[in-house]
Parts: sequence; structure tokens; C-alpha cells
Amino acid sequence: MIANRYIGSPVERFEDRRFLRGKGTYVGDLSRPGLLYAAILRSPRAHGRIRSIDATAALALRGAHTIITAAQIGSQVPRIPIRLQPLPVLVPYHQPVIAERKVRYVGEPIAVVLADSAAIAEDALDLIRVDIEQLPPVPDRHAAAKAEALLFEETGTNLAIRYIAAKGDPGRVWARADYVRRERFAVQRHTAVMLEPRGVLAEWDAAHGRLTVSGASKVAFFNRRILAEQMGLAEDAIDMVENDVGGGFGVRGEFYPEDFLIPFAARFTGRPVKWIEDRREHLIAANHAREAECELKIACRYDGTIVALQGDVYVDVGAYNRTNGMVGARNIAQFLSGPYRIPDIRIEASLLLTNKTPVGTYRGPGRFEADFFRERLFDIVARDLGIDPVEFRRRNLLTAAEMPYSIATITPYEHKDAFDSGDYRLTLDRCLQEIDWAEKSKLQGKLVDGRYQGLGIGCFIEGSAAGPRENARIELESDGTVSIFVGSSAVGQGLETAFAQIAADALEIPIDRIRGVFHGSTAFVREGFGSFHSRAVVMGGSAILLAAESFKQAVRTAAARQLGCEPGAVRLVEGRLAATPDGKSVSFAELAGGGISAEESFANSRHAYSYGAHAAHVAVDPRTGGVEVVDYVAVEDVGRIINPMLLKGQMVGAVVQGLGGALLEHLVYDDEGQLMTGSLADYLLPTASDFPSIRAVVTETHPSPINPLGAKGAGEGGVVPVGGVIANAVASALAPLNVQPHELPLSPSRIWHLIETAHEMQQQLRE
Amino acid sequence: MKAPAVDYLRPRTLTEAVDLLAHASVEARVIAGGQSLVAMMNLRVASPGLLIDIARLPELHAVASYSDAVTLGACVTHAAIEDRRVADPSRGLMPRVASTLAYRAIRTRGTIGGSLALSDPAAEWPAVLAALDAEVVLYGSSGRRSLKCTEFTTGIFQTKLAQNEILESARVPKLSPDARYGYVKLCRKSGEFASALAVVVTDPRRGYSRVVSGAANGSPLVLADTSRLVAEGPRDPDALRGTISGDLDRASDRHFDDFQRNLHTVAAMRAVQQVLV
Repeated sequence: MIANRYIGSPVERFEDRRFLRGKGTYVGDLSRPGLLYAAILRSPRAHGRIRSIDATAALALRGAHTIITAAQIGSQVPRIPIRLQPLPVLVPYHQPVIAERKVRYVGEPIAVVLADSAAIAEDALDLIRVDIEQLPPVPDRHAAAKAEALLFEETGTNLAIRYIAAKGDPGRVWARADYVRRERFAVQRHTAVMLEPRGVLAEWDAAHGRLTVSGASKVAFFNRRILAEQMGLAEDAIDMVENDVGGGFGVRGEFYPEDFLIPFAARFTGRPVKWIEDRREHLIAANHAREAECELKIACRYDGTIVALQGDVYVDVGAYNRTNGMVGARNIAQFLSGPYRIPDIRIEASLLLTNKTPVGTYRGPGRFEADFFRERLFDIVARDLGIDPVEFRRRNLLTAAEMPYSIATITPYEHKDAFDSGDYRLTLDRCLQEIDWAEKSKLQGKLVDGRYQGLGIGCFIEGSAAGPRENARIELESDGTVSIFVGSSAVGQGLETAFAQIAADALEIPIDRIRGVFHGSTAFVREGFGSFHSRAVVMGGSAILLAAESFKQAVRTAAARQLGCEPGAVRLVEGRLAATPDGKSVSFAELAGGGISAEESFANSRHAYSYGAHAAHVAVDPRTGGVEVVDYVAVEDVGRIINPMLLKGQMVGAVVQGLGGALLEHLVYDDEGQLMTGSLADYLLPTASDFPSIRAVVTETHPSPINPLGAKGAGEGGVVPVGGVIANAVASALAPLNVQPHELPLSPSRIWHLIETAHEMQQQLRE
Repeated sequence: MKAPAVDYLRPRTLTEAVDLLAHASVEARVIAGGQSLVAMMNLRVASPGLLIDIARLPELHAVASYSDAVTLGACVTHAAIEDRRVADPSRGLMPRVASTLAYRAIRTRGTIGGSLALSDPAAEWPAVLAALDAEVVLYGSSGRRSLKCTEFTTGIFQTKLAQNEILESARVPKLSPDARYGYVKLCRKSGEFASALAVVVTDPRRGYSRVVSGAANGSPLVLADTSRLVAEGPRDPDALRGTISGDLDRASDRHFDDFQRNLHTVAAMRAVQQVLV
């Protein structure tokens, strides 16, 4: 392991120098001579057959240039393949880049208008006449299961796939278990709403047959492969350019229909084309997430030891299986057991197609849902058994002696996985200490100033470091500084800063000798794998470590040639000089003429698991159903802390997103498949003033053994336990009223109705 | 979310503005702060052919204090009220209300006249000015007229403002030093429109007492029996709750569901409790 000089320090973000001066460059900032603006006509109906599209009036509008529908795209409308864990059985459900004969959700692209301005493009949209024969909609998973209406008649079912997560054999347990409990839980559909919506700018160079696409993010290399195939181009004829982004959260940067339509439009018209998603569009076009229900059965011994967990999970995946649309459901199944020791597990997850916006991954995919189910279930079970909920968890949390610990295997895909390292009780204890559980728990269920006080706790794991590999290159510049090139992409997490810290330590140079960290775009490295599964720092950082070793070797070799000594005798001084023991030296700038560069790849087939615990103190107003988060503590062990300031910032932001999911955010559909919460006046996003008291604590007691940094992912964990923790805190507050939340979001009306129902039941019991 | 093309005119006087409004050959809308109208245009739920910008008309920024009332020009912003940069007839109620209205960025441009003229059912000013027994002054081709706020708003986004009229000012009676008020806004997050709103004003010296529910699925709802009860200084919470319930029951046209009814009751209870010492 390398020596720490910058790693572990709260180095200020390099990115902020441009952001705070208004010098950030987002895709919306870009313009080109002759630019056309695109607007997309989206289906107003959830399910129907397109009878006709009449664009005559739209094309007659001054400033409207071209209109593209499926007819212009050709006899074969391309479909968008699955990026993560593709399976042949899912092929029928891949989304076409534009609707052909059928529309399957409100928001599905039907036509693209190209015009001289965005406003004219929208004027033209209003003039396109689309005749859609309405088909019976499939608005929810129950209708999907009934299969009276089918989204894809040719497959005869609305069930896309069923995953099974299995370990041991729970079947043998139930009959002789001390205690068994069944519960049903549900999480609502919601998603990431980034400050900056998505955007694409495409330029076609007809003379050279080259395509440049700005606005790439997350997985630029994978998206280039899809686009090249769809457009019949060689991969290296396409440059994907990453720009600054206002947030990713898993939703930005997947391959969406627009990622084909805009480049296609540029080639079709021979002019640069730009499309910027607007807010209303984002809420119907970008991936949705999290809508899941479960029926669970748990068996325990009387002492609280968990024996088995079994159940069914139903996930509403919307109208198509998008690039990563299966991940949430499979994660629910595989990670329902969380950081706990559960010997026998069988979870079946059914992915049901409905006439709603397709789903994809949103920060902590599946884990947020699974944690709500499990942590809520545990509090109910602990109460039944008369065991303190903290003790119940401590009894079942995994310890260092049990690592590596095998978790349930996912079928199909036969994916086996194991936790790498850690003592999961440590973060629980730290969390209890930070929130002062011993003292505050005395408040549970008490009325203070008319509000019930409650404390909730939950534990979690965060998966990270997806393979197969990541690449980094280090180059010596002519002035003797170094530049870092890496295949990871930035989604606002402070990647340039973290990578500069890692590179400076590995190269043993002052951080200001690093000229820049260049990431994300396809021109920088041969092949890159991007940022998802909390992998950027772990994988990209490890690749930088390897490249740094090769780079230092290359510098020593070049210096030795000039200085007439053995490479092993060359000492590198402060990133400026290469020197021999007898005092001869050559500067990095002098060496740069020889063109020194090193590129390395870090490969990894295992996952690194961060873990932690969160606790919350809430006050619930029984008359309005309102919840105030009085205090919130998040503790996570990430193996190795690169930059505690970046890390805590990510954690607090993730907690706020989690609180949005727990209390506010809900994509509500009606029975016709119309989205009822299509603006930020109805889709409630948390703001800074809503949740002012959040504290993040980070530890690094158990480095990951699977990468040279010892690091584990840190971007997603903060969101994972929030739903369960808040629901447990609300249950604790309302314990005197016998309220047990089973569904999110915990809106005032839901809490008030729960109180009313519990009250009525008690009155009936008395009578 | 780009607004459709629209003509834009900025008259120099209120009379000129009313003339333009009266003689427009296309759908003309008056714009002041634009905090609702521009959003509606961007969402293309409003697409006027002509915008008449009144934001800079000096007569609409006038604030005058009389012995018994203050008139606030229609283009006084929420922020000006919040910051007490204009005379306050309400002894602190209006600044307090203004500070709960949307976000500061909206408050710096949004105007009291715009809020009243639009009469969003969940907005603060229509309910608060109704509780203060304020009047609006409307200026049109045929001159000026005044209407009580309680009569001005007739329903959801519906008022008695004629097509050729501009809301010129609000005339708000001054509260006496003995007056007390209560204000409760229930909403799910900061800056949001209210789920329920209650305003109580009681001014024994003027023999005045009124309780108003806002965000009440229509125009601001005066709770008549509760208003009378407040004048007596109710001590019994159950009686108070019963009276509020009775007032809400009579408003059957509002079609409250159980939860909304509960929220309005709670908001009114709490607002009344703020005036009782």
C-alpha cells in the first residue's frame, strides 16, 4: 500500500474552481454554427396503436426544419440492448428508439422535430397530429399479472422474468421454527431528479464519416458500442464527449432513445443537433425506479437468532426492459438479507411489465427497497419477541471472523457473491454512540409539545467495484507536469480531486504537479467502463495506482539513460527531478521530450462491500401526520477514505435523497397510465431547509482485500437504509397508538390514516 | 418548456395599460412579477397573444397610509412586505405570511396584486386579506371600483376582475393595538403551496373577528360560527372543534375528504389558539 500524503485529507475540490466562477461547461452551454434544436413528441397515451402521424402543418411552420418518425429511420428501428446482465428471454422487451406501431407508456418518443430554436420546435410539436387507437392500459402489477391486456402480444405474458435468490434450503425450517412472522411491504415509484436534466449535442462530419456526441456520461464506451452498431459506424468513428454534469445518481448516462435519435438527426440533416431535456420531460422520459412490493416470511429462534427468510417480490418495471432495468429487482432479491447472518434464504422476484415509464437504476438500486422491507420487518419481529431492536440486530450482524461471507446466489445468471471484509457490529455501535441512543431512546413514544418522539435504526451494506476492469494512463507533459487519463466518468462526485490525490501519492509528487485529470470521454483511454455500482474511485483509482508504478519506472529508465546509471539508482525528487545518488540530475521537463507515458488496466471480478448503520430521531404530529427529522446520523465504513470531505458530502446528499423517497417523492399514476405528478409542484423534492440536521461519520477499520487501494464504494450507501430507518422511527414514535407503517412514502395523509385505522380497531376491540 | 411566441408591451401609465387591455385583438394578459404566468406559459397551459407588463408602473407601487387603512399598490412584492419596506397595517401578520410564501427568489418578483388577481385556491394572500377584511381597488375603462376581498374571489382561479380591468391596489384596514391574529400554514415541505391554511383576526376595539380557511378547494372560506365564537374567547377546545366542524360541514360544495377536513380543522384550531392568551 502506498504512503498517505494526500489520501485521507479533505483536499478542496479542484472542480469547484471552475464551478464557483461560473466556468463549468454543461451540454446546454454548447452551441455550434448551424445548430438545430430538437424537441420530441411523446405519446400522450399509455397504451395504443399508432394509426397515423400527420406532420404537414408542423413542417409548414417557419423555422421548423425536419420531422423524424419511425418511417425516416428505416425498415428496422433499432432496439436498445441491456447493458447489465442481458438474457435472451428479455430480448422481446428491449425498447425501440422510437415508437413504431405501438406506444406503451406516456412519454414514449413518437417523433423528433428539428427547428431553428427550441421554442419553434415546441410550437411545431403542437401542430403534429397523431392518431392513436387506444388499447386497454396495464396500470399496475396486478393488472399485469392478470394479463387481460398484454404489452407484447407476441410473448403472451406481462411477466418479463423471475429471479430467484437462494441460499441453503428454507423449506426445511418452517415446521420446526420457534417463531414465524409474515409481513407485506411496499415502496413507491420515484426516481432521481438531477439539478441539470439530460442533454445531447451531436455533430456529423460527412467528409470524414465521423460522429461527435457531447453530453456523454456514466458509461460512454458502452453507449458508443451500441450507437456504432445502430448507426452502422465503426466504434472509433464516434467520439463520445463528457461535459460537466449537474448530478447523475444512476439515471443520467444510460442509453436512452434520445441517445440514438439526436445523433441520427445530425447525420440525417447534416447539421449539428442539440436536445436538452426539460423538467416535465425528465419526469416521464428518464428512468423511474423503486416501485416494489413484497410478501416476506421470517423464522427466528426465541433468542432472536434469524433462521430463515423467504418471500416473493413484485417489481413494476414499466413498459420496457431498459439497459439496467433488471438491476433493482435482482438486487432486492440478493440483498434482502443485508449485512446479517441468515443461513437459509429463498426470494423470488417477479418483474412485471406495465404501461408506465420504464425503470432503471437509481442510487442504491434495490437496496433502498430491500432495506425498508427488512429493517421494518426486524423491528416488528423484535417487538414480538420482546427483544430490544438494537440487540436483535447485533445478534445477527456479521463479524470479521465470518469474512468472506457468501450471500444468496441469483438465478438466472447464476451469480455468486460474497462480502469481502468488515465487522458490521462496529458501525452499529458507533452510530448508537453518535446519536446518543442510550439517552434519546428514553423519549420513544413520549408526547413532547403535542408530538410523539421516535427513534429508528437500520443497518446496510453497499455493493461496489463492478468489473471487469478500468484503465488509466499517465503522461509527462512538456513542462514536466503530469496528466492523468482515466476511463471512469464524473457525475458530480469530485472525481478529479480524488484521482489527483491518489495519483500524487502514488507518483510521490506534490499535487500541484498534476496538470489535470481527464476522464469520461472516449478519446482519453483505449477502453473505459465508467461510473456505476460505486466503482469509479475503487476501479479507476486502482488503475491509476498501477499506471503510476509503470510511469515511475519509465521515468527512471529514461533518466538512467541520460544520467548513465542503472534505473534502480534513480531517485525521483518532488515530481521535478530524477537524480542519482552522486548528485547528477535531469528535470522532468527535460525528460518529457522523449514522450513518457504509461497505461495500465486494473481487473477485478469480485465486489467490495461498504457497510454501516443509520439512526434517526423524529417527531410526529398525530393531528396532521407530519414528520420532522429532528436528528439523523449516518455511519459508514468505506475501507479506505480518500477524501473525507467529498465522502461526507456524498453521504449527506444521499441521506437527503433517501428522505425524499421516505417522506415526499412519489410518481403517481392513474388507472389510465397517466402520470399525475408531472411537475415539481406535485413531485415533491426535498430542499436544504427541509432536513437541516444530518451528520455523516466515516470509518476505515477494514480495508477491502480485493484492490490495492483497500477502498470500497461510497456513493450510494447513504441512501440505502433511509426508508427503513425513518419508518422505524415513525413506528417507535407512534407505538402508543399501535401504528406499524408498511408502505412508503410516509406522507402526512398516510400517517394520519394509519393512526385513524389503529384508533378504530382499538375502539372495536374495547366494544 | 419554452413559451410560445407572444407580443409584449410596456405601457407608461395605468390608463394606457387599461386601454391596451380593453382594445386588444388577441388574448391579452397583464404581467407583473410573472411568477405564475410565465411558468404557465412555459408549460403551455397559458398562451396569451399579448403581454402587458405593468411591473414598472409607478402608480402600482404606491403605498399610502391613512388613519384607518393602508393601501398597497398591486405591484408591491412579497419580499417588500416580508422585509417591512412598506407600511404594515397588520401589525406583523402580513410580513409573517409573506415569509412563508414560496421561496425567496419567487418573493422578490411575485406581487400581492398578482396573487390576488390569479386567486390560486392554495395561495396565501386571498385568504389573509379576506381575514383582514381588505378591499381590492379595480381600475378599468369605466373607472374605479372597490370590492371586499371576500367577494372578489369567487372560486378556483376565479374572480370578479373584468377583462378590461387591472387590480390597482389592496386597501387593508389597520389593526388596533388590541388586535390579535393567528396564522397556520400546513404543507409538506418548505416553499410549497398550502395543504391547509387558517387565518384568524380578532380586533375587539373595532368589534371585529374573523376566521378564514384557505386552500379550501375554492375561494377563501369564512368560518362564520367560529368567527363569532372567537370574539367570545373560547376556552373549551371541544366546543371550538365542534364549531369549526360545523362551519366546514356547511361548506359541502368544497368536497373535502376526511384527511383534508381534518387538516382544516387542525389548522383552524391552532390558528385560534394563537389568539387566545
